[in-house]
Amino acid sequence: MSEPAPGKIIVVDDEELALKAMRRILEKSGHQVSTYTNPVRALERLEQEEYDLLLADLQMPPYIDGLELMAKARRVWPAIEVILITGYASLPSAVEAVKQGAFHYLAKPVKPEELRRLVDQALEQRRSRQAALAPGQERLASGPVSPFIIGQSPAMRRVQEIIAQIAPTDCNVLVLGESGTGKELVARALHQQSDRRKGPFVAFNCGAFSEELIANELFGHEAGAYTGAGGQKRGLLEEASGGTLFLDEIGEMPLSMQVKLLRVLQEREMLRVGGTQPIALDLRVVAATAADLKAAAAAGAFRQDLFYRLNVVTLELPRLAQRREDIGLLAQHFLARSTRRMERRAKGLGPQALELLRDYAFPGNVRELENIMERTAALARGEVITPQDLPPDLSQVRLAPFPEAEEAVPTLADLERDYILHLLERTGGSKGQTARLLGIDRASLWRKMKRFGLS
Amino acid sequence: MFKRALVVFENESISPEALLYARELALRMDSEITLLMLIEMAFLDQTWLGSKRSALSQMEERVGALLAEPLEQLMKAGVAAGAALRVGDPAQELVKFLAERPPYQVVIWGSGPELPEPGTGRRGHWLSRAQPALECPLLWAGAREAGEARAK
Repeated sequence: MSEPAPGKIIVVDDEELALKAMRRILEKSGHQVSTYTNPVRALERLEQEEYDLLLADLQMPPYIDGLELMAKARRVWPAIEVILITGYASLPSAVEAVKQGAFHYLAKPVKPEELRRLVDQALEQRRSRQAALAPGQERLASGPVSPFIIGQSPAMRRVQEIIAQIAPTDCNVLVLGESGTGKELVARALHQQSDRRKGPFVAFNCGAFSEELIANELFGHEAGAYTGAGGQKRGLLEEASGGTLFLDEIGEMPLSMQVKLLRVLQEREMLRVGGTQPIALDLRVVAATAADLKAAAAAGAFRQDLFYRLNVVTLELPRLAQRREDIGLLAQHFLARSTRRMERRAKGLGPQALELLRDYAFPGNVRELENIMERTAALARGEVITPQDLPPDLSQVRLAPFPEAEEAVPTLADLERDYILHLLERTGGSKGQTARLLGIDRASLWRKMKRFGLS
Repeated sequence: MFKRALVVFENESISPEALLYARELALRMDSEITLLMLIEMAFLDQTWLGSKRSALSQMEERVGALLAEPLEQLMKAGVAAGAALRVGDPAQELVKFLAERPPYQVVIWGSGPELPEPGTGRRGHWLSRAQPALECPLLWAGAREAGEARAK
C-alpha cells in the first residue's frame, strides 16, 4: 500500500492538552496542522483559507458546538471532510454527526493509531471527491466582494464609495445598521481594501459573552491569573495586532469593559489578565451596532469618550427595504449559489415571485432574503420559481409599516387632559383636591374626566 | 443577530395573519417569538381595589386561555415562544415591557384587520405615538386580498 499523501488539517478543541496531542500525532505523519481552542476563530480562519479536513470537538461550551461548526465550514468549503471528536461518546450523537455528513466520529481519549487511520481515510475520500469536481466549483463563498455589498442602488453605491475612500486610511470606523444588513462584511471589505489586508481580521461579538468572558477573550490571561487559567492565553487584541479588530454589537459591551477598551485605544497597549508587562498593539478597530449609540452615550448607557474614539467615521448601512431595486439581483445571486450547492434545478425567478419578494418588508434584511432563497432552492419544483415555491406568508399576508403619528401639535383639549392627569397624580387621585387646584367644582371635574376618558 | 420578534395584541383581539407571519419569520430566521397582550385599564379612579383584583384575575385567566392555542401551534412548529399580559396604558406598558428586555428585531401589530389611519396628537393610534420609542421596525400584518399582487 502506498504512503498516504499529507493534508492540510484544522483541529478545534477547547481542551488545550488534547489539542496539542493531536497536533503532535498529525504533524509526525507529515500533515500541515492549524489548531484552535475557539471554534469562532477557527471559522474565521476557514473563511480565509481552505483546508482538507476539519477535526472538531463535539462539545465546546460556551461556543458553537462541533455540528454547527461543521455546517458553517461546509457553507464555505462544501468538500471539506469532517471528523468529530467527543468526550461524551454516545451512540445518538455519533449517529447524528454521521447523518449530518461527518466522515466519522472519534471518542476521547483519542488513540493515535485510530486517529491516523481515520485521517488518512478522510483525506483519501476528499481527494476522490475533488477529482470529480469541476475547477472553480470548490469555493462557494463569494470572495472579497461580498453579496451583502452587491447592489446597484444609489444607497449601496454610496456605501461602496465610502468603503473605498476610508479603507486605506487607518481611522476607526463605526458601522451602523440593522441586523442582517451586512455590518461584518463591510468591516471585512474595509480590511481587504486597506494596507492591513495581509494582517489578521479578527471578529468578536460583544453581545454574546459575559463580562468575564469578554475580558478573557479580548485581553487573554497569564498562567494562573485565576482558577482554571492553566496556561498563558493570547487575547483577540493581540491576535488582531497588525490587522483589523471588528467589534460587533459594541453597544452591548458592559461599562467596565468600555473603560478598558478606551484605555487600549488611547495607549495602544494592553495588559493580559493577571499580567504586569504592557504589550504594544497596532490595530484598527471597526465597531458595529444596531442600536442608537449616540442616544445611549447621551443617556449615560455608553461612554461618550469611547463613542467619540470609535466614531471617527460613521458608515450607515441601509435596510434592504430601503434599496428594493437590489432585491432581484441579490435573490438571483443567492438562488444560483444555493442551487449549485444543493444540486437543484431552479434557474431563475418568475415575475410574480420576484414581485412578491420586492413587495416584502424584510425585517431580517439581506440575511432573511438569503435564508428565503436557500429554502426556496431546496423546495422548488421547477426551473422557474413561482409564488408557490416561496414561504406561504409572502403570498398570504400583506405587510405594511405601521403608520407613524403625524407631527403632534397638542390641542387645548390635549393640554387640559394632561394637566388634569398631572394634578390627579399629584393629589394621589383625590378629585376634591384636584378640583380645588383647578378652581372648578367637583361636578365639572367629573364631566371633564368623563369626556377625556379618565374616569 | 436577528433573535427576537414581538407580536403585540390589544384587547384580546388576535389576527391569524400576524400569527402566520410571525411563525414563518421565526422559522426562517431561527428566532424566538413573544406574544404580548396589552389591555387598557385605568387605575386612578376610586373603584374598590377588590373589584380591580377580581377583574385582573379573570382577565389573566381569559387571556391565558386565548394565547394558549397560538403558543402551542408555534411550539409545535418548532418555534421557541412565550407570552405575556400587561394591563394599563398600552403605549406606556409596551415601552416598559421593551425596556426590561434585550432588544427585539421587529414588532408586529397583531390586532385589527385594518391598517389604522395616521392621525395627530391623541387622535392617532396609541401605537403610532409609541413608535418613536421603538428601536426596530413596526409592521402591520393583514390578509392579502385574493389575486392581490402587491401591497398598496
